[in-house]
Amino acid sequence: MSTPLIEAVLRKDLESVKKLLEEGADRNARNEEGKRACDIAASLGYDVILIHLIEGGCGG
Amino acid sequence: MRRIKISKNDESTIHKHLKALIIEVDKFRVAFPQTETDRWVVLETERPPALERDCMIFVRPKNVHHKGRNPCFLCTVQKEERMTTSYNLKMLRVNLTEKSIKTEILDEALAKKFIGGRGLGTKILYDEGVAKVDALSPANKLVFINGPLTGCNVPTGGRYMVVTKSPLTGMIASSNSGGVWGARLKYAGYDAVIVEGKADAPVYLSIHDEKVELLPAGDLWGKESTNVEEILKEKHGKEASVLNIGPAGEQMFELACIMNEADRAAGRSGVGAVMGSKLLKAIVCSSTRTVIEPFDKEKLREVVTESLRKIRENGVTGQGLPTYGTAVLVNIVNNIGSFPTRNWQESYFADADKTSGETLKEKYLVKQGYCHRCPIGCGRVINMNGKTVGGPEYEPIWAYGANCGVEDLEAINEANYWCNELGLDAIGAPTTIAAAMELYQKGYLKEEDCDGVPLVWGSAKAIVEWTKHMGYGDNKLGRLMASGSYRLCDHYGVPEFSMSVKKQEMPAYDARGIQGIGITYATSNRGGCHVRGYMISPEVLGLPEPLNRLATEGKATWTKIFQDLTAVIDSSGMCLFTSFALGAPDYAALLNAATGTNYDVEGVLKVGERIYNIERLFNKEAGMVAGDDTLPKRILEEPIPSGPSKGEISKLNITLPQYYEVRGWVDAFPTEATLKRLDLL
Repeated sequence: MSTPLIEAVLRKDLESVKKLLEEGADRNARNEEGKRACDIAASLGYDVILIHLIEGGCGG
Repeated sequence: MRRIKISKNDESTIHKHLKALIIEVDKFRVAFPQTETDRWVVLETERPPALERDCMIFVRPKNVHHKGRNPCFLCTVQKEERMTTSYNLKMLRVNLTEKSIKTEILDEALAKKFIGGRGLGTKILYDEGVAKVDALSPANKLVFINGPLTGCNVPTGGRYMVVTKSPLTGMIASSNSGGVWGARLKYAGYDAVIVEGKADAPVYLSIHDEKVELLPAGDLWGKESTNVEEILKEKHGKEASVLNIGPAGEQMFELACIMNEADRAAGRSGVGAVMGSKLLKAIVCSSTRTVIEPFDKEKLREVVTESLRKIRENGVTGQGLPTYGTAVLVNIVNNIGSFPTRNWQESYFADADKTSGETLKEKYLVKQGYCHRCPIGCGRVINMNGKTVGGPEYEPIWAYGANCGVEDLEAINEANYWCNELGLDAIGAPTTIAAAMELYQKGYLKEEDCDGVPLVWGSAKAIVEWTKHMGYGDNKLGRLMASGSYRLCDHYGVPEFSMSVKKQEMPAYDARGIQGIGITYATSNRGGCHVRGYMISPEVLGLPEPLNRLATEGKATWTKIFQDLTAVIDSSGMCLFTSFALGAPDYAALLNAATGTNYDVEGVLKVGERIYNIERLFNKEAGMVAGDDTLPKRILEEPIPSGPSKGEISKLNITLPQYYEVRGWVDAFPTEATLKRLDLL
């Protein structure tokens, strides 16, 4: 099942992604294929959206 | 610091205002009338008086004379701004050929466009045409450069970068180091030191605030790193911080690094060889100032408090690294079968635990080691045969250990010690020994070539003695090995035995069993390197999100944002290890509070992307071609033969085109549209 966050990612709608995250959207929710919003953003090459979807940094 | 916007008065008005307020500044910072920027005068004085609009002032620099006169300008204040910024906006340019030392203004807008450190250093060299010069010629330049957070009261804010053209790769080199030296340079009043030309005899540079001088170093030449540090601290005071090269750098070996504070290193890409080529043995730095005033002190305090909380609560930065150091990774990476063994012929080392961070702690640890303002303390101070020295990190433990088939941690400690003393890259040197061991195994190197210490797998004696031969350059094979594994293996007609990218050796993670790190290695602008986009974090440690290490989908995008954010951190003056706990919003907030920028997440990521692309432009000018973004044949064609990742192979053929698409590159280089988007055209 898709989520509004995943739908916003699919639309490449950065503003909606930011708004949904501010409202507490579950960034780890998965669709019927088992993919999270960050997985979809990464596979579509949406780098700016992806950086908003991850909470930590890039490791050492 | 404050800066004031002024209008210059004509000569006639000067006589009418002889009683105008005189403001003495420590340094005259601008000439005018020139550009709009130049109409701002930076008052470099601890306690500038309050200035009102329309008040008349003389701006008179102390101790600066121009053509026999002390320049003094009468101005009308138009506006005063509290313009403290964590940049000094000042650089030193040292020409060793001409024996000249000049202070230059750092353009604030340019600094903010590239942040500092790695980004700004590369931009400076690119603009000055360094990409096309011979790396070991006087025409190459060596930039020691801080970030805007270096010296600030931020976690790990003490790092500096050495940026130059690499003699190892022929491309951009930017090697990062911690310790205290970078902060000392910042406190002394400089964001960067640009070294040009070549001295006619060994020299060292002494910096104490505004007193900067070149001094003879003939008596230091040939000496090991800690000895040089002791001698110079004796001469310049125990608070002085010393950066220097060992015998490896003096002999311009491609694996030479630059050391500071005994065991901190700007380790990779042969930056020590460039310093040696200029006959510059050391830079001593001390200061009377010990703080950097940020743009917004209260905001910075608030952001730092939150950052420290995240660092302390994070499992890696709050527990794993402080307890076991970076070598906490030995068992983790070995257990997934991606721990390159015997020059990457295998990827699982049965005796790995004997060399682990846990074993190092149990048998040798004296205490944790901390760099300037570091809350993590990943450094290992160990007991080595009764002597207290800096201990090895994960990479040299792996490179001397599994990669050479050695399980003797005491020997690894000693070999690592000699890397530091002699000024050798502690990844490049041991991985080259591993390549030599494969050459020996397969008959390319004979026993008679080995000066009584055969290069056999598992030889504790070999890793110690051959490190010394490489650093001292005291035999023919040692000198050849000190030029790196690519040149060594190429000499014997088998360059494919060199586990390197762009002639720089890859570190301790097998890209066949961890697909994302393979993209990082292949596309790194400085050659084989893990800290240009640490995909191990999500693929192995599950941070910030767990990713399937064997999958390829989405890895190109992940790699790009890791590379770009890493470029930001490297340029800021903070340690990359903080990024296990901190993300792009945290770095943007820290930079904004310190410098007065207004980055948001997209903005800071764009700066990182700009830095990655200016490095790529440098490499293009230096002669890089599309095929250079690749991995060794073994990684592309030979599946891992055994262990938990048995049968795995790099899928770079799938991920590399995806990566170029995400980057906006064609055939390895940015398109015009990409350069325009990044304000690089």
